[in-house]
Amino acid sequence: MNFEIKKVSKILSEMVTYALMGDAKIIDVSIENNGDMFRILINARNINRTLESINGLREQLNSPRQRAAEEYYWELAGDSDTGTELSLVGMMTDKAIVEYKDNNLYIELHRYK
Amino acid sequence: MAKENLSDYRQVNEKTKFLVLSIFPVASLILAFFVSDYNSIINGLHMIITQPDVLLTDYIKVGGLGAALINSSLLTLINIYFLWKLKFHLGGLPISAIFTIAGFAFFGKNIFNVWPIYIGGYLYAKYEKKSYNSVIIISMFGTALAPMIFEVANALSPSNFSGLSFGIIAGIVAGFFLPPISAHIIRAHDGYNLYNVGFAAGLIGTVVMSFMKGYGFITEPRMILSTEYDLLLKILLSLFFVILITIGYVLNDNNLVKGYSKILRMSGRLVADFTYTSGFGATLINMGIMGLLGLIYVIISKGTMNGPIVGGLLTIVGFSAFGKHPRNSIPIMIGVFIASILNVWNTSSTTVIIAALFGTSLAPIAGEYGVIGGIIAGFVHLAVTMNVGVLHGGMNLYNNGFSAGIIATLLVPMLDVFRRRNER
Repeated sequence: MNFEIKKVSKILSEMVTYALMGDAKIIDVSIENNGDMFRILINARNINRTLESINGLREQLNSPRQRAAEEYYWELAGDSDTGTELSLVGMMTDKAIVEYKDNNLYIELHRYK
Repeated sequence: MAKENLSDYRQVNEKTKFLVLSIFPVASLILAFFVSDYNSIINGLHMIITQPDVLLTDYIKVGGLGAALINSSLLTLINIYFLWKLKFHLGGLPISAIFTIAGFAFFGKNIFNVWPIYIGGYLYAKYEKKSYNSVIIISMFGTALAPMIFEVANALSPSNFSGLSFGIIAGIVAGFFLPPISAHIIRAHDGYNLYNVGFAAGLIGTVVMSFMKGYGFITEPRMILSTEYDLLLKILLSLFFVILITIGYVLNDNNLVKGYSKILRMSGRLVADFTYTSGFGATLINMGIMGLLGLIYVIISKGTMNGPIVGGLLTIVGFSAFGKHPRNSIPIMIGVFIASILNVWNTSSTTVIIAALFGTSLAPIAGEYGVIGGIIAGFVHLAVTMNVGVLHGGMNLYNNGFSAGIIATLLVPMLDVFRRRNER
């Protein structure tokens, strides 16, 4: 399989894991495969996460994109429960928007090809 | 598109980071001419290049302190230049790679034997239609296999151009396949071995050595170690570590503790970039403290400073930007120390001391599973690292990374059993 596709699915898996571990009741995901980038949207409703956790998520997803770290460590993303992969997802994406209101979490990630 | 920086800590511009990173190699360059004259350095470099580089070959003994310093300085400065030209963001990963190069340039990596690995990495990037930016760090770590070039050349046709050509080709092939292998192998230990390339290079080295042994080639184990610069090296490295702490203090808004508690709270498991989470200043403070901690371990163990120990200390310093801190590293060192008392090995021997220094590759285990988990990992590490070198014949300079990969692969699922039970 194309590594680029696997990387996108790993990013999605990491985000869905974060939402599920926060006991989210409904998770909507959407991926747009545009010409120059992937746009990944996650909407987790009734999630049980503290504000500190959300702020940590926002900070880690905003780690600068690091292609070297991505090439080396991308296989780690997606299936862990310790949380360090969130910064890896940050290093694999170019833009991260995290919004949280009334226990609903919205995440938008842009990954340029 | 640049992301908004949401870290609470003061960020430092890239030029300053590059300047800080250049302190050690520039100081080494200047110092070399104080401890040796020009002719000794040239002769020493010739000796370093033409001798086998398998573990443990101390370049300070082989070529003299001046030549070893020049070798480390040139190799490090060239790599810093590569990162500068490629417009690298100097996060924890490239910092750890640069210090690893600087350290291993005292025992195994030299200005001649590393380049085939880079060429292989470059060809892989071209083949995969990627920018070299994404591969060069793996190539930098991948120079762990640099001794293979001489060994293959020596096995096939010693002192012959065709033998050398085969050696270089072997290095290029290894450099080509290291990126996919090291990315794949990381799943085995789930990021609990910081020297992941050491694990990959150990497996490659084992296969190559097995193949060579099949054709009757036997490697000569080496134990060439210097003893004459013990005090000088201790003083110089202490000074360097204090300088790192001082610069870190200034860049951390004249504060020693700001951001540091955040570093200590992290498990260190890959990927933990302290420069982003806690700022460059706090990271430098951690690097200096960890260097001093390593040095204290050497002194407590009554060890004598030499090339491999200098390499171990510099590698710890580098990875203290990317996973290591006192909380997760001390238990590993304690584990190795206890093992050295209870086992047959001598606590003050270089091999045991570097097992403790490089054994901090397993620091994420202590960070994640606690002090006891870390001590167990360190305890087991000493026994394993003393026995796996024979598999690759010393061709993989990151022998401890190989050992740590094996231990993390086995130990993490075992420790997980108890953690899951506690969580239920």
